Amino acid sequence: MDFVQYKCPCCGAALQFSPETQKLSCRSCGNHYDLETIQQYEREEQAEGEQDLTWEYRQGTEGAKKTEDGRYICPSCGAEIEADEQTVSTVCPYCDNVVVIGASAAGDLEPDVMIPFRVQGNQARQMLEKFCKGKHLLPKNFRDRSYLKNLKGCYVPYWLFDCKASADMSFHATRVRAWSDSDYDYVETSYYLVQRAGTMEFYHVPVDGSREMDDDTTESIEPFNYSDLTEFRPEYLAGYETDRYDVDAKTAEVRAKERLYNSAEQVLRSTVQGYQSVSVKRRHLASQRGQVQYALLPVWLFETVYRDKKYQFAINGQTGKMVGELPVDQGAFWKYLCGFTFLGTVLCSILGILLFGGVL
Amino acid sequence: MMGRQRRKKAASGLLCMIVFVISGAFSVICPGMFCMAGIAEVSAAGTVPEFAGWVQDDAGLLSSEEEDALEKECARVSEVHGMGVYIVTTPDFGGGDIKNWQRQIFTEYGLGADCADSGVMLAISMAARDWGLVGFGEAQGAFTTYGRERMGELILDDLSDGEFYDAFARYVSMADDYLTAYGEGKPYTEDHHYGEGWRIPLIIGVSFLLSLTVSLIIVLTWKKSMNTRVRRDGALEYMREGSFRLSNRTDRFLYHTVSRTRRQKESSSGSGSGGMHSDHSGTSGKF
Repeated sequence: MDFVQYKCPCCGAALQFSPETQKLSCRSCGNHYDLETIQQYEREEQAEGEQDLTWEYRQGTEGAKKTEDGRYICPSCGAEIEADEQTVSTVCPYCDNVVVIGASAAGDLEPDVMIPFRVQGNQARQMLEKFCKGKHLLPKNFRDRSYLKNLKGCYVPYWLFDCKASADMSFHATRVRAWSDSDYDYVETSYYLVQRAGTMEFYHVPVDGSREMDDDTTESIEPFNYSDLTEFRPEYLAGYETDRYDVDAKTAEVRAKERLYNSAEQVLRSTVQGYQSVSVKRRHLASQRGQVQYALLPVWLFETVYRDKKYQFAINGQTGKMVGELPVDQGAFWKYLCGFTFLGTVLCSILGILLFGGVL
Repeated sequence: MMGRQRRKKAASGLLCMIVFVISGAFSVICPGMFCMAGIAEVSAAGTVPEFAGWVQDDAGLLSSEEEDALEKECARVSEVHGMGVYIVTTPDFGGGDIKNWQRQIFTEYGLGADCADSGVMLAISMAARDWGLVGFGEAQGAFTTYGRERMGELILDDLSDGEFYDAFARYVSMADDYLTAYGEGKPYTEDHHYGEGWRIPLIIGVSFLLSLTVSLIIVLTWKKSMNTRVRRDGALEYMREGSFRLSNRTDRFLYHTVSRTRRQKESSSGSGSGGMHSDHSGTSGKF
């Protein structure tokens, strides 16, 4: 027969069965627990925490191979064109034809789905120009419109994660009651173990598959409207740069899992009400029918290097949402700070002396 | 404390006699030097039996050395400006408005007789801890309502703390400043504050800090607007609408803790200095 020793959730001391109350009692802190509660608490303590989600990868279609000596030939004019293994499509410099480099040239997947561009190039340039207007801290070379040349339309590789998630989480929660008598103020804090479980479905959670793209930027231009999602068609790539993914789906899973766990926690936590404080004790998520798709999503991208640091600015090529980081001219920063401070000091001093200095 | 005051009073009485004799002698030798010479034989009004010199300490608040020092300083200031500077202390002025009592004794003792009836008087009555400051004649121009109240502010702490010599010394010093400013045509008024030169550096300092704070907020806001990236915390926008099904909802009470803290007893003690009351030529209050 196994001997089970339960510990007090409050102070960690060993609990003893009290024949009087028919409960487990703690001699150290004086709390009492019924058997069912303490067993549930122990199960919760020993339950598994976060674990990996399982995904099924959709098989891609084989594309055309490059020539044996590693060259790419334009199918329209037969000229040799420059491309590397990361290139999905490019423009032939001789005949201006859009050449799609076979996806399977590198033995990788061909995109499953894509969203075509809706925002035109001139619209994107106007949006960027408008955003830069009135930005007093931009470096001097942004004062002419030449920087707009750096804006380019790109199809950015994304991994889209679908799943039906089963979430099972527990929370520590407290309720606080306060009262007073003539001598003392009292605060009673009651501790609860709150358990929630449920299912929810996620559709196309995007994680970018490009190492070159900043994750903060690609997540900031979300969400995409998936009603425009179509099967991959090379014709849509005409006139835009397209890179093949260099972050595989397995690597992208980490970020997808993080976002799914956070969302499941937010959903379950929203059902925990009536407490003064709530903190997560355990999170567990299991995915059913988990699927991953490879997608190309439209982004207008502006990149610049300022003082050896790379800055990216992106416009969602479907919705027009603008996000990113532009360089800050430190000289302008200090110039404005000192100028405003000096001007403010002079004006406030004059006003202050006139009002409070007793010189009038 | 009481013994010290008795000793002070005895010394004060002795000093009064000496001053009386000396001032009587001086009134004969150089009658113009002290504009109140000869008033000693005026019969007493209220609780002031006689008024000799510039300082009449009937309440015995000063030591003989202190009174002597004040006497000299009052005489110097009065001579320089041609307006009398007086200090009167009394155990009890008899009640009412101390300013009226001051005006009464100024008239009855003929103070300021040699100064075109012009002067200023600080009076202290210990019974109800009253103080009063009244200007007379031309000195009213130097001791404006602002000036008197400002002086009251600056000497009130010393009076309340029982530091009477310090309070009187400051009064004489300020009277000197007031009369000098008046002589230069710039008496201290609401528009020409006394002893507040620190205000300008303070105003500039506060202006600098305020401007720096506002400027920092503006420039940092500009800088922040250069980076609009926000990393997503979750993926709630990709959750299918209506797909959430809650299958377990359990809330178990575990235990509770109680803490207590002793309540602070409300203190019934309090302190406060009375306000000042000013009329056309005098200011009074409690200390």
